[in-house]
Amino acid sequence: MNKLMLALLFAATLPAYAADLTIRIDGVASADGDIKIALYNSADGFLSKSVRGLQAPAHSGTVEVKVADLPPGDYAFAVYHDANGNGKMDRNMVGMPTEDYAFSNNAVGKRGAPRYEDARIVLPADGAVATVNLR
Amino acid sequence: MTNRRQFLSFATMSLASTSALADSLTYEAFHHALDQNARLLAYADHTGDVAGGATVLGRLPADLNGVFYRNGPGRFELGGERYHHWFDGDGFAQRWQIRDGKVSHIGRFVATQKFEEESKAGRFLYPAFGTWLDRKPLKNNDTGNVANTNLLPFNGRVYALWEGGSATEVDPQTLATRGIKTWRPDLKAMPFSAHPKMDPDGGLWNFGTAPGANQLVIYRLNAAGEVTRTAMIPVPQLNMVHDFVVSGRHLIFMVAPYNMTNAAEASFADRMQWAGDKQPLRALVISKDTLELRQVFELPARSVFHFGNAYDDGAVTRFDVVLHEGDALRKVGLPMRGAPRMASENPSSTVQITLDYASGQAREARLFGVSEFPRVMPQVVSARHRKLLVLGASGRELILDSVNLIDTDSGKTDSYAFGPGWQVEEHVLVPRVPSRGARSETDGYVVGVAQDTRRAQSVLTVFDAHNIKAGPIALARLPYRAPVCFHGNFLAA
Repeated sequence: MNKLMLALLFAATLPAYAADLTIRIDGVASADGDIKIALYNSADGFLSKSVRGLQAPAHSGTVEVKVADLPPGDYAFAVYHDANGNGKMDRNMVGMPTEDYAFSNNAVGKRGAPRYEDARIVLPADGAVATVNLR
Repeated sequence: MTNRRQFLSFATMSLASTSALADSLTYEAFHHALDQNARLLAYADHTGDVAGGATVLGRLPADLNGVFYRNGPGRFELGGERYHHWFDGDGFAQRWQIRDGKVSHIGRFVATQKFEEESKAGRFLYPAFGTWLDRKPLKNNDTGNVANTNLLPFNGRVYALWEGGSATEVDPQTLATRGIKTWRPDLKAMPFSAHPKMDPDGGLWNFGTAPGANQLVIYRLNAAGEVTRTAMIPVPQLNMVHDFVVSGRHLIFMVAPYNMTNAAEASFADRMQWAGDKQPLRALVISKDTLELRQVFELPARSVFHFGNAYDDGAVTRFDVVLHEGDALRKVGLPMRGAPRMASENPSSTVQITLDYASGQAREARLFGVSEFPRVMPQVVSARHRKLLVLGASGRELILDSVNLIDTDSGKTDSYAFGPGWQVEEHVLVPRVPSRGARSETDGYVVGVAQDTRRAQSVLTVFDAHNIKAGPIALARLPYRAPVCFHGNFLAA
């Protein structure tokens, strides 16, 4: 195979790493602090090893965050509103989160976080929009 | 035998089946029974706000002025489905104003997140205490908060209380919902019981317990509503704890013998499995100074909801409590389907218990037969009391229809029975003037609400506390019927 054909082959594979995931977060209660997002791509890494971490300033209503240039495939994400800007999810005396949060698919767990399977979304090559509600 | 136990648990599951079909069966069964039995009105569904003036019969005392706040379950039906348990209904807060011999009344639903979302959807979405639904999951304790059990004036504000989650603040004049009350950021969405106990210094003690948590949380608030102390006490096999009682030096809880199962698609009530044949009723004593468990006493198995008052008496603590034979919780579902509850099934009685720390023994003395809703004068809470007010049920059917003031020293009772067609709600003792220091516990009034089911009217009742048997000195009749309330409090003007 000559170099031109190799270059063309590589050029043809580039779009596979350019899927955009737009995350819409409804129910944001105030303009205090930031919206923080952690993105995961496997059950093993779910909630322990994120593949991307992002944040955006909060404002009342809906906040949209674009996660660009992702390989298409399965993902799940966790979002919370760090209203007091202390960089962590605050919890009450019995360990339940006290800042607004949501998981992809608005998945809810029985006693704590949902399973990866319930939060899993599919990101195709041409991108996707995922909407969650903090309330 | 394992098979029998499994059969029984399947039976209880089917009584509270998860499918919408069973909920509409409950709806049909109830409405069919209601057509023939007006006494079931107490469990009928209610929609909308109410407001009206009452017609006063008799004479309201000139020195009785204030607001009687009350709360209870008001919505049982939505979209053709009906809840299975009385405790499920969304809170309907009520306010009776007594001023210058006149009585006026308003009532409205507490606009909780659940109430607003389900009203908009036109159907039930969230699981309730005794009815399993999974159209929408519960994100935290307040997602399913029905704010239906008590209405408490405290520190110039008014709170709708529900033991599964936070207090909900409402406007003291209009009862409009102001929103969930978070006492302190690290206490957000934590259970805050519907039975706080007022301290003589104006503050209060309360507790919270979450399903399956095995942790009892204690809260102490000062008169300004600030949280001054909290504690978490591990309690093995903790289940539903509805009320507690406070003496000068102790907090006392009773935990009935239920096991919490992990059944997946079952309501909280259905996950409570009665274990009275194997396990005792426990009395837990916590010392106020350390907020640590001092001692546990074991008593013969019974179920429990409400307490009267407690006081320390030398080396013992004495308190009154209403105990029910066997599993009284499940039978509360019967009238929701239109079926009567009989007084002889799981009969209750009011008892005085003496906890002897030295011997580790609990002694009991019976004060009254079938009864509920014990109350004492506010100025004797956590001190030595001598009068206990309870409601009684005189007939074969379990309908509370009498008001009884028990002298706990002599055991003598000053009683009044309302007669057929009446359903009596919790009555409270109101001191003649806001009192300080020693004052007779009968120097004041007994105030309550009774439902005249024959005329479908809610009626405010006022007795002289030193002469219950003479009957009400005043009745204030509304031209309509408002939902039955569980608990409330009188706030003197």
